[in-house]
Order: sequence, then structure tokens, then C-alpha cells
Amino acid sequence: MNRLIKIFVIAILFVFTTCKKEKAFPSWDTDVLSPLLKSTLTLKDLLTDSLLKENPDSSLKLIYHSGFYSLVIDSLLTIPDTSLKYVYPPFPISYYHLDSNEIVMSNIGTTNFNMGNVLLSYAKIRNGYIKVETWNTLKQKINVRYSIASAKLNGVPFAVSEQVPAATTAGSVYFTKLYSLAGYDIDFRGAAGDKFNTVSISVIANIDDSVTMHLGDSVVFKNTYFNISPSYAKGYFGKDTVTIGPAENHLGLFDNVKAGSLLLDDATVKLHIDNYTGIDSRVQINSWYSLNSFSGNSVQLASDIIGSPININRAIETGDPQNPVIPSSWSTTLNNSNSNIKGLLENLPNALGYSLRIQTNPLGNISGSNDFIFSDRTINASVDIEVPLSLSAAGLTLQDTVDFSLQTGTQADNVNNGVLTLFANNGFPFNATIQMYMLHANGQITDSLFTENKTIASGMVDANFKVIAKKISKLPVPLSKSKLDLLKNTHRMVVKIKYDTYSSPQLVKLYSHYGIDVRLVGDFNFTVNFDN
Amino acid sequence: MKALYLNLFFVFYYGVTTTFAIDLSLIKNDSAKASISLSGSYYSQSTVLTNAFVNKFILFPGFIDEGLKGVVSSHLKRDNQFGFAIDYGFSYFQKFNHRDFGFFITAKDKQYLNTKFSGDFYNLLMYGNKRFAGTTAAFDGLSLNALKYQKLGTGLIWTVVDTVGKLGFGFSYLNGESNSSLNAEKARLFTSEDGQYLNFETAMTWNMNDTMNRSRFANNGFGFSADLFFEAPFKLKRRSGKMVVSVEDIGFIKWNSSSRSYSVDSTFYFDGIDVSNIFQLRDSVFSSISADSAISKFSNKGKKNITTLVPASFNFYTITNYGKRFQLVKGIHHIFNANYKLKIYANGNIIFSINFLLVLG
Repeated sequence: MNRLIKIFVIAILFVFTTCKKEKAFPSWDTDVLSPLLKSTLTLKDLLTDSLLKENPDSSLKLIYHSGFYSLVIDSLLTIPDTSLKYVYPPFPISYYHLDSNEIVMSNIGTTNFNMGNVLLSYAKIRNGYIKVETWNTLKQKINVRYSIASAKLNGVPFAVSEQVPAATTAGSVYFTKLYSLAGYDIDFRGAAGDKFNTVSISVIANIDDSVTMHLGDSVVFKNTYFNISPSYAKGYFGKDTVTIGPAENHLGLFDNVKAGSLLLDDATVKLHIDNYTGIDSRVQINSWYSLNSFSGNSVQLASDIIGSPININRAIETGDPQNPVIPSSWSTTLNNSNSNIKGLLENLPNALGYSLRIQTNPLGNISGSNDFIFSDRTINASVDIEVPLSLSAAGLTLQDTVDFSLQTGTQADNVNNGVLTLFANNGFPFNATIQMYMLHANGQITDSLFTENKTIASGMVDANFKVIAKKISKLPVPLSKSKLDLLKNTHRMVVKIKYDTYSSPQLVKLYSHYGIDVRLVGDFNFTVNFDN
Repeated sequence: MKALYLNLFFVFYYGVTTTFAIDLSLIKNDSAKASISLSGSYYSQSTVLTNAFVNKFILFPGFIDEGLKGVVSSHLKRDNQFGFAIDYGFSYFQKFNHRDFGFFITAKDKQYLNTKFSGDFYNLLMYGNKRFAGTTAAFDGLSLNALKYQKLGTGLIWTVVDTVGKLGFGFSYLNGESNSSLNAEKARLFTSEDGQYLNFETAMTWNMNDTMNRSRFANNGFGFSADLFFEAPFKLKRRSGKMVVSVEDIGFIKWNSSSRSYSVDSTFYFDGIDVSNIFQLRDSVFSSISADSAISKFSNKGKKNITTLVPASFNFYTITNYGKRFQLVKGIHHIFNANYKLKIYANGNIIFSINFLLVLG
């Protein structure tokens, strides 16, 4: 009897302990055929950093704005680092007893900034500092009060008081401190208001307690303005010539184009120069060119504006803090009849190059030293590109790198193998040959997605090369287990698409309703596992 | 005489039914005052699933290979059924002094799963939809019910009725742990030839208890049930025996107000997840889609009290003695509310001793 009970207890324990094992789940393989993703791509999806505009006939044109030059204020105005130094006593003294609170220094002086032919009367400081240094050999503390009456922050003049420590038996004491002048309004016309490039200062120093002064003892005071940069300045900024370039500025319009050729029907570029400074200017464009860094080709602009002086009047200061300047603008339009601008764009440039010369105040100081300049509003040059999308492409290859992640620990882990099929229903009048490359985290290409380059056929066109019906192409991607493993380790993909317009070099117009419907269908052998 | 009474009951029918029961009772003889019984049983029945398949699917889960799937597939009919029941627990019986009746208390953990499905459903589930490319997989009438509850009951047994019979009845409190019930009046999936789209036509309801409360013996509802038992001896053509009739678990569980009910009567067309740029694929594209969000989006849902009738078991059998060592058992068994098919059965018992009984069936 007892034995039976023991067997029973052991059996119960066995059942419960085996139940505590990790839970198992059934699994089996299935063949799944299912659509995964769909998307409709129009030109708005394919073109980046651009604006498409629809013409009355629903054909499209591309409008692209790009600034390619902006004058920096340092080119016109630089306030140099400038120091002023006072020494007490002004001449050697062998012995002198200083009473408590006796004043050792009381100077009202001026700091003159050497700025060439610039006559600066006023500046609002964006950033910059004043550095105050004191060397003291006296065995007593010195109280220093330093002020600049013409430098004001919210109407309050700059003034600081410091106590310089007494010298020790080891030698003199060096005391220094840095003060920010950011936001200060500084009048550069001196104490009487009749000068330029001049700032008045006041230094008063008194001994803290009585001390005897011996030969060689001194108090030296020095102040230095440095890294002064104005956000606004007024005065006369000289008759000067600034040469800019050759320099290149990035143009994002054809960033992803890596090869091939493009023929355009027409192109228009409006060149704008806006003068936001209170300075008369004469601008001369010495050269302007488009640069394709992949092919190495550059195309120089051939136009009357090259080498011709462009006079731009000074801007008008309004006094309105919200809109303080009314700029003076100049613009010209470059087209097929007055330039080779179409050739510049057919070069598929990723940069615009230029070389300029800007002459300031060509007529001298005719403003009575009332020139003005804001640091964030100077002289800007920009282009507005307008290209009707009537074109012909031959082997026009766009390449981009896109993020991709198929993380592990998901249902994707249960795919054993299969075929991923891209169905592309193309409504554009061009063939597109596509390939995608898998990139490992280290940037190395590990494999291509398609076993060979696959072509999406052009839509059906009429006699005018206008698409009348979409055409479907089927692009299968066999996915073996090894390729799936590669995909799981893929973090980025290079997408390379080569476009050839229908009947190139015949020009075809692109319309707003053109698009391509893409759909990704998965045909997978998949392990169903309830553990996941 | 004190004895440990062990009753092992195995019935294995290839491809149809599996029964396993263990009843371990520490009893005294019939005139004894008290007894304790520990029991457990597993019962599964299907019109098509083989034991090997069910073992891999439920009892000893593992990989179900093509062979296992194929055997079942070759026997599929238009309507197919599968169900299983597991219960275990204990009971205690105490006879009143100098009386012919006593009382019992019982505690059991019970679990039922049953489903009715079409052949297409099986093939779709086990082989995927690729084999249905260009056609429709129809699984109208699909039902799936999963129920788990605990039973705590008490009752009385008259040990002498009409001189030698027994009559008992019990009343139980039921703790509803989990419930999930899906019934699809209409369910048809069309897969296009090239896989570019799927079309799913369905009219179905799905009731389930609070999914946030899934702990063991969780209380997601409660109910009551009743049991009846009658046993009477007989003598027929000089052979003695007894007749037993029992009805167990006539009752219900009312699930709490956190229970959810989904209903849908619609057609779903799926031709891929719409992405703004197919070249910018990230997990977030897929992670935004979950079963819960899809159900919420496409169905009418609501929290409400749901009442479920628990599967009630009816058993009628006779035991006829053939000498001292052999008994013939004949009977019918049915479980209501469980997609169960009435079973008529017969099996034999070989009695080695009062303590050991071998059941043949």
C-alpha cells in the first residue's frame, strides 16, 4: 500500500516537473502568395528639392531656386583687435608714500581703431570681447573702475569695478578679466562726437590702504578689444574692390545623376542680384559655368552679361525693426536666344561655378558717411531655373542610397526561400532599367538584388509620343536562404535606375498625370511557428 | 479494507479518437465512511485528424512535416471536426453515520477546444494560399471554441435507492478563466493568379474574454453547473450488471464586462500596404500593422457581457458481468455545445483483482 502511494507521488511530481519545461509550439511550412507593398510614383516622387509647375496643357515644367553667392560682412568691414595701455607712475619714483584711498590713476582716453579708409560711426555688436589686464607690484590692493560711456546695453553704459590683489613677496600680481560686448551699441565718434573709429574710455584706480612705493613699483593697466563683429554698422565703408572666386556652389537639381545624357527643348534661368547694404555697388560677373563632377565636364556661360559692369544702387534703411531694409535689386533672364544656358543645364551639373568682382562706393562717400550694413543682409546672388519637361534621355542614370532594414526577430526570420516580384505598371514614356545593391554596415556591396539588370518597359505612346496606356513589367527577385541572410544584414541599398526615353533623341513631353504603379508581391515558403 | 484503486483507461483509434484517463482512488470498501479520489483525463476526437498529427500539434508540439500533413489532407471531407477536453482534479466523499447517503466535494480544472472546419481551411492553414492561386478557398461554417474554467462543487449521493441503486446530484461554482469563440458564417479567400491581390469575403463573430488578464486561474467570469448521476443494478438472463446514467456540467459561465465581441460582415480587398516611397522601406512600415489594429479597423467591436453554455457531458452505459474476471461495457456518450459527434461504444474490462482492472476497448 505504502509503495503504491510512493509510486503515485513520484508520478505526480514527474508530471509537474516535466510541465515546467520550456513551452514547445507546433510549426510547419506553408507557401504564401501575397501582395506586400504598393506605391504610385509620379514625377513629384522622383524629383527631389524641386517644384513642379503644371502648364495649361497639363505638361510639366521644373522650377528650381538656388542661391549661389552671399557676401559676408567681413569682406566690407573688419574691426581690428586694438589695445590701450596706461602706466602709473608715468615716470620712475624712488620713494613715495600713498595714503589710504589715494587715487593712483584717473585717465579719460580714447581707443582708435585702424580701419583704413572705413569711417565707422556706429556699430551694434553681434559678438566680441573686451579684455582688461592689470599688473600690480604694490604691496596693497587696488580698486579699479573701468567704463566706456559710449558703449551701451539697453541704454546703460558699460562700467565694471574690480579689486586687483596686492603684490606678494614673490613678485607682482597679474589680474585679468574678459567681458562680452555682445548686444552693445557702440558710438565710434569719440567723446565730442566729431570723430570716426574712436571710442572713449575712463579708468580710475585708487589704493585700498596706505602703502609705500619704491623704485620700480608700478601699476599697469591695459584694455584690448578683440574679435569684434558687428550685426549692424554705420559710417562710410570705403571705395573698395572685392574679388570673389573662382568658387563653386552646390546645385541639388541633378545630384543623383551619375551618367547618361539629357536633351532639353528649352531652358530659362533668371539671375538675381539683391543689394541689402546701404552701399552703392558695381558687380562684374567674370565667369559663370556649370560643372558635372562625375563626367568632369564644365560648360561656360556665353552671354553679354559676362564681363559687363552691373550697377546696383544702395538699399534704403526703413527704421522698421521688422523689415529694416528695402533692397535694391537687379535681374536678367538667360534663355536660348541670348545665351547657351540650355547647354549649361544639359551638362547635368551638380555645381554652379562663378567668379565675381564687387566694387563698393564707386562714386566715393556720397552718403555723408551714412552707409549701413546688416550682417545678415548683404549682397546675394541667386538663380531661378525653369525647364519645360520636354526632353530626351539616353542612358540617364540616377543612383541613390536609401536606408533599408529587415531586422531579425521578426516574421521575416521564418521565410525559408521564395521569389519577390516587382510588378511595375509604367505610364512614363521611357524605359527604366533597374538594379539594387545591398550594402553592409561597413558600406561594402554584398550582392545585387536582381540577378541581372531588369528593364521596366515604357508606356504605350501615340504618334506624338504621348503615353496612351500603361505597360506592365514583371521583375522577379529569387530569394535563396543565403540571399535572405544577406538582406537581414543589409542596412542600406544602392538603387540605380537608367532611363531611356521612347525613340530617343526625339523629345517627349512629361505630363502631370504620368506615373508608375509599383507593387511588390511575395511568394514565400514560410515556416509557421506559434512561438514567434 | 483499505486499498488504492487504480483505474487506467486507454483507447486509441488510429486517425479518429484518443482517450486517456487515470482515476486514482484511495477508498475503503462500499460500507466505508469516506473516500478520496484523484482523477485526470484527456480526450480528443476528430473526424479527420490523425493521432500523430494531434500529438505534434497539441500534446507534444513539434514540426509537422509534409507526411503528417498529407495523410490528413487525403482524408478531408467537406466538413471536418476536431475537439479535445482535458480535466483533472480531486473529489472527496463522506458518508453520514447510520445513513444511506453522504456528501461529496469536488474541485476540477477543465479545458475544452473544439473546431469545425472545411477541407479548404485545413489546406489553407497547413499549405498556404499559394495552392489556391486563381481560385477561392472557402471555409464557410468555420467555428472554433476554446474554453477553460475551474469547477468547485458539492452534492449528495444516496448509496441505496430502491434497495441497491445509487442516485446523486451536485451543484458547482464555475470560475471562468478564458474563453474564445469564433464563428464564421461565411469566409472565402480569393488569391489572384499572380498574387497581386487577395479578396476575403467574410461574415463572422469573435467573442473573447479580457486579454489583459491571462494568469493561471484568472477570474474573467463566473457561472454555475449541475451534475446528475444514477446507477441501478440489473440481472438479465442470469447475468448481473448495472446501468449508469450521468449528466455532467449542465450550466453556464457569464464572462465579465471586459469581454470583447467582434463582428464583421464585409469584403476585404488587399493589394499591398500603401507606401509613399517604395525605396524607403523600414520596419516601421510593417510594424504599424498588427493583428489587433487590423481587427479594430475592420470590425465592429464592443465590450459586453457574454454568456457561454459550458459543454455538458451525457453518458449512458451498462456493465454486464461475464464471470468474475470479465465485464462488457456498452454505452453512448455525447458532449453538448462542443461540436461533438455522438459516440456509441463497447469495451471490456478484465478484472485481475479488486485493486486492478484492465480496460480493453
